[in-house]
Amino acid sequence: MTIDVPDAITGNAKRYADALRDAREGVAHALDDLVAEFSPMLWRVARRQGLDRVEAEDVVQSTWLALLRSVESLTTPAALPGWLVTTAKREAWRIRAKVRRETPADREWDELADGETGIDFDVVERLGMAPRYASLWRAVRQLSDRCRDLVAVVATVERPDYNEVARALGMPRGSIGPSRGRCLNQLRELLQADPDWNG
Amino acid sequence: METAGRNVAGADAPLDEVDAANLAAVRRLQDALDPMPEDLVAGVRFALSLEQLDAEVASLVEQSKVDARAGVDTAEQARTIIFESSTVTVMVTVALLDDDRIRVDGWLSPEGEYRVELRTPSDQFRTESDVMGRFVIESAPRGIFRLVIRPPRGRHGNPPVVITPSVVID
Repeated sequence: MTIDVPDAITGNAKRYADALRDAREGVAHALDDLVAEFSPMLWRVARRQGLDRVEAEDVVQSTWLALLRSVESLTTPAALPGWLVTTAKREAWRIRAKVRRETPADREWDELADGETGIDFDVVERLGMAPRYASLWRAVRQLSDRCRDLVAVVATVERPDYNEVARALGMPRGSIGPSRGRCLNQLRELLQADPDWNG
Repeated sequence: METAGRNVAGADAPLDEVDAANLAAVRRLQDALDPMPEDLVAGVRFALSLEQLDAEVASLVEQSKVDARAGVDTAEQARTIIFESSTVTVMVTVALLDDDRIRVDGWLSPEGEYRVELRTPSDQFRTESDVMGRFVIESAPRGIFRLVIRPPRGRHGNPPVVITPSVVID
């Protein structure tokens, strides 16, 4: 079974268009739903750019404020997720260039990410994760940086938004929707090959 | 079934239930290891609603903290803050009512009947100042708030809406 991806005009793009038009007209709370929907994605973009948690919060907030200020010029609603990702990345670079940190952004995530540390039993237990998440983490760590960025960010959005977000992130588009692409295919194969994941 | 990373057919195949499940698992993993702060969405909405006002942001001029009503069971503190914009000065005194609520007394200059809103990330409270420019918000949640001040209509059109920076009562 494949994921049903709504047509660009009638699906998510319509929702984005309505929200952006309301925001242009000054309707209060016009962007509230989009904020709930896409903030986790922006958070992940900022964190994957190596910002700490406080900086990442700033990036999420300033990205939305930038959208409100650019709402007149954003004429292609379907491009909204891509616009958000690009703007958040730019904001993150700006902050990173300004602040030269000596300590890593998030020790837990970063030390794990460096590959020195695996997800051990302590982490699994403390965070209340199922033991098979250690396999998932092993698989994610084997992906290239680019693939990890993509998987980390795409994973934050609800299914119906894969289409736009995947495109914004450079995932190839197939005839009926986004293709799995190299990165997701790799993740899938790594997991399939892991007896702990399937067991 | 794909068996190799170079398998082109696998990469070209449409997203399916397995991919969705893998992505959902990645999402749960990320949420466990590095969750987005819970109040971030409310904070962003708050910032957007204030940005939409297109208001002048007043600057903090003075802040003082005094013990008030000491001698009661719990010594409570009142805090006086003065903000200034190009058109209006507002002095507010914030007092703790109990662990969760505050009372805000304010005085606006030049004196007059302003519409005053106290906004928190989750609520807003409206009132009007009297002819002397005095206003009171009897009870609002402790935490973060900003005041939105709409001056009376002037002879030369509408003076700008003024908004204070965030006040945090912790």
